[in-house]
Amino acid sequence: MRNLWNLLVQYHIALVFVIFQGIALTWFVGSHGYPRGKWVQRSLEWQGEWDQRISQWDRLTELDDLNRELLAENATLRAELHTARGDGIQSNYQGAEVIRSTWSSASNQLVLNKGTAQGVQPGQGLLQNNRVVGRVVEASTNYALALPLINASVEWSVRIGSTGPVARLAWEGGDVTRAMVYDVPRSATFGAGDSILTSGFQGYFPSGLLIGTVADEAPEFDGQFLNVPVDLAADFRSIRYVQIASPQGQSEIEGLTNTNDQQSP
Amino acid sequence: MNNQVLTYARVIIPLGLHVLFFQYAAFAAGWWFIGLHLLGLLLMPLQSSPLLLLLVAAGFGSIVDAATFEGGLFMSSAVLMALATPAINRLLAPREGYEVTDQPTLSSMGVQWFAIRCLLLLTIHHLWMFGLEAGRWDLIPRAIGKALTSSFLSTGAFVLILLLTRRQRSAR
Repeated sequence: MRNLWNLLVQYHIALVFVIFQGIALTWFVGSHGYPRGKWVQRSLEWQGEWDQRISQWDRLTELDDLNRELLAENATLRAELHTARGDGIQSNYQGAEVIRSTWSSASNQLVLNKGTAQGVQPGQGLLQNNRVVGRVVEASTNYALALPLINASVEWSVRIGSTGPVARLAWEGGDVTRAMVYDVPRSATFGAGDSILTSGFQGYFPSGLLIGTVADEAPEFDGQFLNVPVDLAADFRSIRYVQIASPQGQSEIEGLTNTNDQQSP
Repeated sequence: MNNQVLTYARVIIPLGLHVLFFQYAAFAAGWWFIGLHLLGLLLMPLQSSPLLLLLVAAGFGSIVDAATFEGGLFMSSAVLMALATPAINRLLAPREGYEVTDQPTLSSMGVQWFAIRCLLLLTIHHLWMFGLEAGRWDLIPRAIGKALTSSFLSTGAFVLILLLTRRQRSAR
């Protein structure tokens, strides 16, 4: 026992280092990409308030008010458009301001100035001028944390053109204007400039919203599938206002899915 | 100002500035990350025990992690840098060793000593941080590039900050 104690005393620096690294790496692995838990919410709340104060310093008030009005009006009009078009899944929209945005790391994120008090919930989609931006993953009372398309840890269900095959889109890091659509059947016909649209399968967005266009670059062959480079439609460097889409009937659909899961043998 | 207060202020103020104003201070499309809190760690007294360095680095790193939602990334990198600090200090020690009054600042140790120490420690920190953040082997070359670029540019920035903020000696 005494020898063990002596050993610990002798190597206490290495031991403390290993303990701290263990804590840090566990924290990193557990929270990177999909932060969860109360502390994240508190931290988000505090950060959100602070960032909003900072951004207020250099805000041009009149232009800002005008932007908000336009954003709200745009949201209402978009919801009416979906109703008029008779889309399968209707969505409600509301405007929000992006008070923090990163685009230089592999796990980029956005913080919005609306939270659960305004009806924002995890799983809702974000749009910038009708172009897909990302989705909400965490919401505190007045702020929300969202993962954009340019986050390497998230994948998105997309369709090539309005009637093309469904595939998955992921961002590989680096260029924020470019992503890749994987698992496209080799039989699919498409060309440079064709639209990449939401499939609506994930429930974050209605179907048919623009994500990007097929880049003017040869697709990569991957066995029976193609990997197609895509130019993203949203401009992540200049993003400031977004619309939050909340497709109607999501809870009903999830209820049905859960019932089916429970009844499965 | 009392010297001890000044020492604490030198360590704490960069952390405060980083958390409040510069937490996402990344320039050149992410190729230059400037972690101001690291300047605080670099300015820890030369006589600090390795254990104290580790504790302060873990504290600073976790505060920055909590503020930026990076979940342990900065804590892990800062702790590694703190572990390397005593070795780098020994490597760069003058032939007769450090004086009790020596401080790891430009005015005490000179620009060359500070810049080399800063560059070595920042390189260790940034290589680990960008490597962890990359998370995939194919992004490692890019991470190394970012780490080296950030280390060189941040060293320059830190030297400049200390040159601009150092106290003028009063004329006798």
